[in-house]
Amino acid sequence: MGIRFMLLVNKLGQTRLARYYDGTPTERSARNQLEGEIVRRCLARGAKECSFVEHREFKLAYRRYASLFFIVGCDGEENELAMLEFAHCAVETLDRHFGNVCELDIMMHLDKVHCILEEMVMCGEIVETNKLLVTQEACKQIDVQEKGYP
Amino acid sequence: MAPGGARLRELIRSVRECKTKAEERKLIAREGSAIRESFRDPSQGRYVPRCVAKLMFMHMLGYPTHFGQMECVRLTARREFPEKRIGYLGLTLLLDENQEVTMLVTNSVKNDLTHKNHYVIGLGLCMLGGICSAEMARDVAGEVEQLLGHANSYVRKKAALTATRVIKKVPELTEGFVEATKRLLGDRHHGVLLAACTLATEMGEQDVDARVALRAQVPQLCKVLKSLIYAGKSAEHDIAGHADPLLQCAILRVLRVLGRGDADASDAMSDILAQIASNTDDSNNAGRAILYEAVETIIAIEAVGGLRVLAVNILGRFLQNKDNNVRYVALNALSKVVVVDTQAIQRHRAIIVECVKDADITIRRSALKLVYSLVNANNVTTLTRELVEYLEACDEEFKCELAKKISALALKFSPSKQWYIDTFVSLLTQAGQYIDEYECNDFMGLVARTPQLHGYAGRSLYRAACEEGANQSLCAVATWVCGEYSDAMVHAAPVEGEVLTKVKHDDVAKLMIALLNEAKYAKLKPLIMTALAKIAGREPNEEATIVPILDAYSRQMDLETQQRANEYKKILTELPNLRDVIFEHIPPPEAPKFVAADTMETLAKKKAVSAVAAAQSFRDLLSFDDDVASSNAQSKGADLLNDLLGTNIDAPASASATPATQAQAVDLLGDMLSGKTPSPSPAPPKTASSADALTDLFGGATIEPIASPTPMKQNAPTTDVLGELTSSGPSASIPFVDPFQNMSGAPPAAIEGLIDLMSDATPPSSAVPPPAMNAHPTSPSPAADIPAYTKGPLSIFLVSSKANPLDPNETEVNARYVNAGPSDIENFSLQAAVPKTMTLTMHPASGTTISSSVPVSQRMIVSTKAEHAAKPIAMRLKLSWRQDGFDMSELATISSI
Repeated sequence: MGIRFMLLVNKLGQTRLARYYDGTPTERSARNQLEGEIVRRCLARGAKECSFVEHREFKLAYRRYASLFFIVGCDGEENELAMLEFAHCAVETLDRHFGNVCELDIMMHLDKVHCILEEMVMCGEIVETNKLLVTQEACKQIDVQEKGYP
Repeated sequence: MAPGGARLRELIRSVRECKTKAEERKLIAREGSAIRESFRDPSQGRYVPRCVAKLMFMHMLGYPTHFGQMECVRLTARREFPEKRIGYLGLTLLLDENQEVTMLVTNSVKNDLTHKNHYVIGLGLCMLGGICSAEMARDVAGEVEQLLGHANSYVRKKAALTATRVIKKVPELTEGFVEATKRLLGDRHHGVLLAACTLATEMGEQDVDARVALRAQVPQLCKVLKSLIYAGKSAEHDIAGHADPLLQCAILRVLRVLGRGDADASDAMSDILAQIASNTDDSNNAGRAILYEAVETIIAIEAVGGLRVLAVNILGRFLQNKDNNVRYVALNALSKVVVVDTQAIQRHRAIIVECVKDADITIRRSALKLVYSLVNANNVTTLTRELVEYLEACDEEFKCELAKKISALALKFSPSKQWYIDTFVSLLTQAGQYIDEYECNDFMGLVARTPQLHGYAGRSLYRAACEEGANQSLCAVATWVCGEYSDAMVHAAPVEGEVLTKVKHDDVAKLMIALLNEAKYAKLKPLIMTALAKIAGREPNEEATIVPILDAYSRQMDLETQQRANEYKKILTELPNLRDVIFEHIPPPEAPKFVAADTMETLAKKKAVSAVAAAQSFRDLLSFDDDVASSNAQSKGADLLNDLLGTNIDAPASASATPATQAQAVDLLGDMLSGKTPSPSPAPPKTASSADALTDLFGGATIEPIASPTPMKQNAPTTDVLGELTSSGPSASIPFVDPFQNMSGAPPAAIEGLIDLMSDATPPSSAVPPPAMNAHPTSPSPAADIPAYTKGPLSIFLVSSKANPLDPNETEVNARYVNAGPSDIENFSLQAAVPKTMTLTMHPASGTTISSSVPVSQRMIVSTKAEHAAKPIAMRLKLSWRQDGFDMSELATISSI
């Protein structure tokens, strides 16, 4: 299992998207606590410090995009640089879909964002990195959704 | 409100508008109940997807959403795609495999896996990949295997990852997937290939047979890698000039698993690895990610020497990179290399040590870990010196980790004892607060076992402790060593390389006295007293300075300090025959038997186990543990001191531990001074003259003929006196009183003598027995010879007695306010409060002005509710008075009267 969770957090520390994969705390309180700890640690770090933080059994790779932090939590064995690359790839894909994605887009279209990420990561493993393909496939599903959505 | 509450967007908007967390909680609670309502109403079926979408949002915010799980299950069984999709998404987000609800979806998932639309199949596979349990995995394994050969790449890639989950849950199923995996590794679609690599990695790591079978695919994988490296630009997969770096990384990872432990497979991939290692452009993150993965693979497989050198060189280059991310991965990778090949990394040692001093805590931690594994007997001196130097500059957060590592390294690799002493002393100086007590004990043990360095260690510690602001651990160790080896410090010749320091007994004593007077070392006071007593015992010239100090402390409020001051003073001034025996050196403890430990944790554990016996006597001295029994002490001196210093020692145990043939004086003293003696002295002295002297002194022999008017055992008073004197329990806060209480008449001469002898610690006011004492001879109660509360010149004495024989729950408390100062205390008022279980009636005080000659008294009646009769009377007092023109007010708590 590579990726254990993905978090999108704004600079105030509010979670904007959280996706947990197997093996992470499923208890609500434990998860809230974990998120709090992670956010505190990542947001406190300076721009010059490295993008990796070891926290509990996880290794966090984070990247800041304007007001949003994209945080990937993974196993200790994972290639950290590749994780950063993946985070970047995911943000670019969202950008492609929403056109310069911002915090509000993610909040308002939470299910779409989930749908796009679902196409990229499945059960904690990266499944597709082709941005074009991901947006196409996600779009098809979202379109059906839009039409039939009450 | 619309059915099922607001629309999702409206909900999000309202949440954003909430100004406080409480407002948000209220809103969500309202919304939650609307959703529940809607779930219950079958006519609102069409709103369920919207409700689930809202639940996902609420889940993200961290609110409870469990009530939506069943609806998700229902949605997945619906025919329409949008409902199905939101149902599956809800399931993977809101559920996990531990919940029984998942079992309910098995059937609908199985149906969906055979659906003709590939998106529907994809949904089912995603769900299974996310949350399927072992049972479900067995159930669907057949379908998943079939889907691995599906015509659509979208299905194939998802099926591959679901298969990963299946074999993770049920490893026996691995075999059935091997052939399909081999096929997938030849797929042309990048996504499928990526997923296949993940599946193959999992298989290879888990199952030996699968690993062997998959090795056949190594040439194929190398070919794919080669085509990726040399492929022209393709817009879809290109990242910063690298074709699909994540796929390259994934392939390199499979190769790592397959090549590990197999020379042929390793050989087959070494060409391509060499090409990647030497040709990949490392100017951007994507390229470095590939290089890093390649290096890890080279390190793990059975690579030839040249390739390995190449890999370590890449890491060396990474280490010098300005980007902290790169340095971080380099350090991490090097810590994997260090296990197999330390030599290769020693070249980069200087840079790594620099990284320990980096501004970034993540880098520092990794570097420290690496340095820790780099240290060996050859470089320990230089590396440790650098680390200790850095200790001074680093921040507090990191200091603790660093100090622990240095201490472990110093112990593990120390080239000489002198070096170890130096290192440990500087470690104590810089970061004493982070050094474990065990480590200090081990250090003191080592000093004790090294007679040739007693003086050296003592002088080093003396210098360190003389510095301004020395920390408590340092002072504790310094105090012990100085006290124990002051003679060596003065007389032993300087060791080679030592900073010359001339120390006289006088200097050591001065340092000890300075430490004793320092308020922040309050915990060390008993230890310092022991040291002072030892110095005085060894060097009679110092007695003139030290005895008055002990005398001053013999009236301390703190019992432990008071007790030691009295005991030592007595031994120094009145027992000349014994002092040499008592104050001789403690015999060195056995060396702790531990094998070279690799990690701090095991080190600490092993130490804790094996060094318990050896460190016993030191711990007694340092920590004043009440539960330490003295039976482990090994020789006469130690035994004696243990008995003397241990605070709550079982007397029969210590008596039986000391053979009767040994000096009886020791035995007797041990018994007499040991706390809470439950039985009379088991071994009456026979001949030894010193023992006789003692017996006389303590009245042990003359006590027997006394006919006590109370129904107590004949010799109980003696026991009590000594027990109270030396024990440190709460009941002992008012010593020396019981004998008076229990004997209504004038105390017999022997007892009087005994009390005279031992009562130096009692404040002067106790010379006048409180009036309550004789008034109620039959109801013994602890009386107050020691003030219940003291502030400046003002002392408050509280004496309780059962005033009313008809009501056992009523207690009379006589308060006496004494002024020890020259000027009068005016406008004195005392307000008292008692716990709810009691009621308090206060009578007016005899006056409001307390002059030094006329104390003021006041009567209070406390009645306790019957069910709480056993509870001690506690009080909170508020005092106010005026003295020398100043208004004073104080709060005090009396925990028991």
